Amino acid sequence: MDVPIEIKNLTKTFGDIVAVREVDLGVHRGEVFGFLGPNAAGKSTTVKVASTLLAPTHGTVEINGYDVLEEPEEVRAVIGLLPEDGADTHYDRLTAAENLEYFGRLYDVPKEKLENRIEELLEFLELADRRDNSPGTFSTGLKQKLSLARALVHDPPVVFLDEPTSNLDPIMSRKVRAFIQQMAEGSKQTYFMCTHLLSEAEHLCDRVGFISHGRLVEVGRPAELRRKFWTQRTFELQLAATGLTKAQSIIKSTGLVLSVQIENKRVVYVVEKAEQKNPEIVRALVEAGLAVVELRERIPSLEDVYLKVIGGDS
Amino acid sequence: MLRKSWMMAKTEIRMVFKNKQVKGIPVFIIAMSVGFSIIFAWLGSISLFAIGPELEEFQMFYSLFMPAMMGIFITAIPVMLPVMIAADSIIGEKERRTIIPLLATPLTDAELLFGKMLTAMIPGIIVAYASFGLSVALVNGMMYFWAPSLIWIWPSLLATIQTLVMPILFSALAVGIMVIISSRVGKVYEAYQWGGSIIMPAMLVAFSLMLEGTGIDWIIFGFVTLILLVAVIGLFRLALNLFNRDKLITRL
Repeated sequence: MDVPIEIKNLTKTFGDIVAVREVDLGVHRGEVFGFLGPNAAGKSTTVKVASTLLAPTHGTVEINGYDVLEEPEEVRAVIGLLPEDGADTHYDRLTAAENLEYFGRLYDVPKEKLENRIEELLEFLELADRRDNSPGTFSTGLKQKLSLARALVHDPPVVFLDEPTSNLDPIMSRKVRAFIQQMAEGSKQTYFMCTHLLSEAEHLCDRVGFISHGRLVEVGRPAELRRKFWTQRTFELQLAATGLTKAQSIIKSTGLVLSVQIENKRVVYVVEKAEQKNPEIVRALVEAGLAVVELRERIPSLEDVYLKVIGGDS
Repeated sequence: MLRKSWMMAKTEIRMVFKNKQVKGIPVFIIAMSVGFSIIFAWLGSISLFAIGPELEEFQMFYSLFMPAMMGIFITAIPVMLPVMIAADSIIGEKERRTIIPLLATPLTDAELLFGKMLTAMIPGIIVAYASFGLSVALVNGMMYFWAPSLIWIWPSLLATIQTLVMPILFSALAVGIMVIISSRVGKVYEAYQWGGSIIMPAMLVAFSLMLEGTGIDWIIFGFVTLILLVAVIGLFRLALNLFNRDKLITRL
């Protein structure tokens, strides 16, 4: 499988402080990967090493087949970076369009292609009417959008986004997320996104990795992680008419569930090996004359998984 | 390497002159040079009227006095500009954090440093040459009307070559110093203070012009040029060795 981001045994120290510890990770082509963890977990340091801004203390990082230590210029040519606090990294003495043009030219984008790309990005990010204004006059949200445009101006195969929606209000966050989703969908670009917003990762990412104290604790698809950490699954059962108490006692009497209770006019039970036990539970209820309208799993959010995996540590 | 460094320098020069602290400096330098040219030319011509008969002695005095005085204003004072630009372009970039996305571009260390060097050097050289050109025109224009016997005494060939060469070397020196101190200095105003240290050797070079006509002037000029050239090459190589993205980012 094509793996444009390949991190092997990466350790990064600052003096006595170990920021990243023996991280092994591969991100596949076209994937949106979410790197989740509490503050100072090592997320940004990993991105900085992968984008050649910091040198690894041990281990290797290869981006699109180029080694960050041996071929840093080649690595930088194939990545786009939205750095941490990226909104504060624009040239206020240039206009928004000039900022993009400057970076596009540093990335060797041909002039005509660059002009089209700038217009396309400004239009897409709803910045077209501010193209000739200094970023110094922008709100944080607009600056962050411009940072995104800058990271994508050369259409790089690998994009690193460090907290792309931090410091944004909910509406602007949603717009930025929608933009990332639109860019990622159907493209071969690989997105590596650091965030501590779990809903954002759940919404955008194909796979996520949890990092805590510099160690990569878990990697997987959100659904896989849920299954892994939620062997005990919770179901909500809705009946056509009354009979909640009766249903509760029937479910309890089957001996198949770990717990059962009534919540908001529904019977809620916790069960293991749900695939085998749910049909038996429903059959028992139907045989007792109860009409089951709906049986729905209460799916734990990525936040629940996160809290279970590293909640105590953070 | 040149193409990207040049492209970077063009954009940065445009930005530098939007900085309120920097954009008045070229005007100040040129105004000072022109102002003092007029004063010196006027002093020369009225002195000639006063001295009258000892024309040869006065011409000799004038040929020593003018290069020394003008050297200060045309060689030493314009060094202020590359110092200020280099501080704004190198330390300022760190202070404003714009260095982060710049370091993530495919620019090599040499391209980046050479781009910064051009950013600081080009305006400094243009201002120095403009000051010199205007001063030469003004001084000799005034002499044409007031004291024709003093016309074209200044600038001598040596003063001309010196004025053409020194701004290049001092500008390059300013950038080298700024890159080296950038690892220790975090604010532009601190960098200005360090950059002031480069004015002193520039003054010394200017004063060395007082030896003009003594026969050792060309030797001194050659010696000073060689020292500065070695210093510039050494500083650029040192700056290239010291330039470390990891340390720069870690200290941000």
